[in-house]
Amino acid sequence: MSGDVIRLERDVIRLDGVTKTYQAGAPPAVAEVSMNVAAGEVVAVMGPSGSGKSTLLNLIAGLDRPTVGRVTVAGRRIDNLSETALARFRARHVGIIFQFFNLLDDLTVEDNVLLPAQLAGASRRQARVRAGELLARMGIDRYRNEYPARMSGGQRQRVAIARALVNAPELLLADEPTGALDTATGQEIGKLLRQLNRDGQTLVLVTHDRALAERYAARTVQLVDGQLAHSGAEVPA
Amino acid sequence: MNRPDVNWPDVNWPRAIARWLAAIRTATGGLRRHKLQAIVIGMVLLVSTASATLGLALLAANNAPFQHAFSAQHGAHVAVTVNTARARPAALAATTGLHGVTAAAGPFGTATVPTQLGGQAFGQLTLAGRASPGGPVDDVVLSAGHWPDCPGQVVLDGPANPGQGGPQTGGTLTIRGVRGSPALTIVGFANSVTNTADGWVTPGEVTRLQGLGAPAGAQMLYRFASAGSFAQIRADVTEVSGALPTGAVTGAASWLSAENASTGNGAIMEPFVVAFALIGLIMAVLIVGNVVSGAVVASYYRIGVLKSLGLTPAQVMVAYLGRIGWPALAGCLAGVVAGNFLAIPVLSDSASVYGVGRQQVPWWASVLAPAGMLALTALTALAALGPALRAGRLSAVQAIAAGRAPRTGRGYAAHRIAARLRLPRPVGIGLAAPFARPARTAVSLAAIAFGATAVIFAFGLNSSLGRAAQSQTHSATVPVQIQQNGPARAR
Repeated sequence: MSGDVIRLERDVIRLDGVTKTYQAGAPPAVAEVSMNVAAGEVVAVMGPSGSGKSTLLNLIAGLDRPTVGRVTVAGRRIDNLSETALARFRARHVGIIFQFFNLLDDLTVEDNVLLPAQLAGASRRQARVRAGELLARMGIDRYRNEYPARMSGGQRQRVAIARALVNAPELLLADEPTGALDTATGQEIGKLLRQLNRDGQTLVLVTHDRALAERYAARTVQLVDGQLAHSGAEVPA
Repeated sequence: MNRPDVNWPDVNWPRAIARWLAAIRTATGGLRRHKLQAIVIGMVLLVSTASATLGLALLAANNAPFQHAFSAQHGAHVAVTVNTARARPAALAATTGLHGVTAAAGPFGTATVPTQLGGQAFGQLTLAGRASPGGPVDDVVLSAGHWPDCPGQVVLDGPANPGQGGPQTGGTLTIRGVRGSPALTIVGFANSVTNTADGWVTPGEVTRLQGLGAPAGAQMLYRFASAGSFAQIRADVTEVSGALPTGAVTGAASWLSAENASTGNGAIMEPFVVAFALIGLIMAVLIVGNVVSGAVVASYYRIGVLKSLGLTPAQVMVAYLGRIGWPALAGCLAGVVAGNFLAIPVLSDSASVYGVGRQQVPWWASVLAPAGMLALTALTALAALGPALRAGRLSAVQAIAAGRAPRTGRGYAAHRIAARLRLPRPVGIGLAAPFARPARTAVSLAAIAFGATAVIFAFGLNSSLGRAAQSQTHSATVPVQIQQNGPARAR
């Protein structure tokens, strides 16, 4: 079975009793987490270092598999998909922004952005058009033929955001998106993410920056030692 | 909701494959963006393939060189020298039909004469008159110059470059012991695997030399159905002698004697030639495996990022095999060409050592060269396949983690032990680091060990072999003091 298709009215993410253990006998990185994220919502996942935030994000992104539990994203159960199916699913439905950008330094800015579109089935011409739109929207279209290593941190993160959005994914995941940036650049990126959400983008934000979470997230989820300590819509959008 | 509806349309399968490949091409970043890695892989494969091709050529050349040359040149089992005054041409021709004779050539007139080269005595040479080097028996290999096409020319038996002081093409060989001491121009060098003559001239030249006083003679060259032992050779010669008038046969040279001499020449070199060839092959395999697997392992982080973007395991594998495969293929192709070019002088030298005229890459080497290339390409692919498969199977998170730091738990014990040693910390860390990847370290060590062995062979054994060869040929000069009135007595 390549994955159950579950039609959800609102939820883009549904986690049911998700546990992730890396080594037998060791405490789980994520323990019995159940949560939902609705379409168009911005949720901030917070917690101290080692609390399991990034692991949770990786499980939602399909970058890792839960030891126990069920992960449903964009209406599709992904914890039991094959690696190939999971890769295809990620390419089409999930965009990921990493703390350290994870851009491919040997590709130009444009190639970095259009690659996920090509992987999702776009022709190079179609992908270039879409990449051009996004780079213009991020204000970095004049760098399209540059290599990321020559750009500032803020510019690189904009490239990473453009790359994450190129297939217009149902879900955008951001792992400490401002963690490697100075305060002013971090705020610019924060505003950009908020604007994306206003345009309807569902966003899950992993951060230990309370200010960022309070400013931009509609809801925070607190993780402590891998367990859900708090989940609620206490931060106004 | 303003989120754009980006839904890339499905296309027919050829275009889908083209797009799949285009995505991989983008992902690999193109060779021009990885010039250094491409050059390193290409060069490693070039050198490895060239040394492997050379090694295989040496192995081939070293595999029963006399037998191969004897077979290729239709060597004479027996070269019979006859007195033409006693044996008429018709009687000689009749011997070709004797029972057991499978092929024959001749009679070729011969003149055994003393010679001079550059004013110095050059020894007594047997010159045979042959219109061409080819024939059903003793297909002489011309290694330099051309075959005599008019009187006054001679082709000498020997290597193409005999060295300083030796005969050279264009030189003059003076025939002594005949009227007028005629001069012959050296027009080339050739080799008869069974040494049927010391030189070849036109049949007319032999007649002229005989007319000037050279002893008249001729040679008949035979191949027999049974000629594997000295006893069989004796029986064959007896049969030929019996078919000719008494005293017509003045001598007979067996191929077995030539084989013994040839084996003696090359035997001392044989183990080292084989050792060099094998070292070349093993080093090629080790280095290719190490470099290629290292290139893939070094890309783990990148593989992780690509997987996070949606590259499937198959796409990861194809992307990395492609990235390594193209420069590897180019390196292999160039290496085969380079190896063949390098093999030419090496085979020429080994032919000289074995005294078999010319060694060519045998027919199967034409198959072996591309096969070797394919094998090395396959080896490259295999070397890359393991890490590429592992990278493909890793989750994106694991691949990124593996690309940033070695797997946890590796080399910890070595680091602990090194930390206790009274060494500067950087040295201790450096000593322990190879234990994080023990297999790779072992392969590197093996490659270095084989390299060191090759260097020792190359530099150390050269002089030893030279001395051994010298003693074998008894060419060393030893000062001997002779006292005319007996040993001096101490007073």
